[in-house]
Amino acid sequence: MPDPDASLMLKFEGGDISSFEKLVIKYKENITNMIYQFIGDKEEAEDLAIEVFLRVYQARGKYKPRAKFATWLYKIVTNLCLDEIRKKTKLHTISLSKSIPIEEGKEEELIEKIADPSPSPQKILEEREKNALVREAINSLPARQRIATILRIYEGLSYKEISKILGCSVKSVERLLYRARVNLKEKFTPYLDMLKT
Amino acid sequence: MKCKKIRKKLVAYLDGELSEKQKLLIKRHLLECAECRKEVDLLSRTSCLLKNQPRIKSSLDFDVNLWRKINSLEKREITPHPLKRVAYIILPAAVAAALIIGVFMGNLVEKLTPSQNVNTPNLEEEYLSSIGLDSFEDFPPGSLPQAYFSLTNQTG
Repeated sequence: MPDPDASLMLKFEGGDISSFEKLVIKYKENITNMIYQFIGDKEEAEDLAIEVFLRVYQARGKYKPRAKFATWLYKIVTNLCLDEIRKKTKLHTISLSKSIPIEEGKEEELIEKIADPSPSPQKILEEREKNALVREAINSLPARQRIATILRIYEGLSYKEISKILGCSVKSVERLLYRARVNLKEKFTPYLDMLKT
Repeated sequence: MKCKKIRKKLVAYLDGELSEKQKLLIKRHLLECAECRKEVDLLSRTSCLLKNQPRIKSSLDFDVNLWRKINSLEKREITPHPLKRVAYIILPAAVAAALIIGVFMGNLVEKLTPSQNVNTPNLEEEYLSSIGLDSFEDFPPGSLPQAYFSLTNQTG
């Protein structure tokens, strides 16, 4: 069955700009989220997502539909994320010992939420704390374990697709994901009981 | 030993990446082994915790920013780099300067080196006198070029 996204890319290669726009609409949320899970910063994630589509735009003359379009696109994202992580000597981490940061302009939102009887302020804070813990745990993973986990958990890709993106065997992907999940499980242990109910 | 091998397959089992045969093998083992059941439960809840992470929405400016970058990229491709633009001016000027210097140097060298054909008949003069142009002057007397050439002839 032909890949409809690859067809759009080929149409774009032929000069149809609207095909490129369709691809942007389809993938921008996923790509931004994937990068956000990897980088942990919303603005930076969006800048990098724009960079991804810029690369797609520039590659229009060289595109060959050898694999699924999504696989090719995720490969661009993966390379960009890994390059970014190489550039950064210090990983961006959120310390749980510090007060939970409130984004600019979000104070009112938080006050409104607190004023609202459901969910309780305690619940909101717990939720934020839990999200910060998950972010910190993901950030602490080695780069390849991290990207494999993101591709599996957030993008729902199969081991075979991940192996094509990372350029390794399916067995290696299995090992990467196993190690990543065990590492995360150890970091989450205090919070896992909360999910029992 | 069996548990160790089974545990390494538990994540792939939860991700639905095992063959039917492998799945059956693990299911049977989990019925018998409480420790591995606990492990698979923890791994499953780890996956849930990851999946429940909030998703972000891309900003309304996403498309505007993307097209702004694409436009500036295309402009850059059409407009030559500032250094290239400078090169377009400098290169012809340098060639012209080299030609002028070359002509002057050639002229100077010719004047400074002693003529080797003193005794040989001047073919050019003979030719000019044969067609009646021996009395022709290149520049009007008293003009600036004439003064320059008489000066260079003197130094020669």
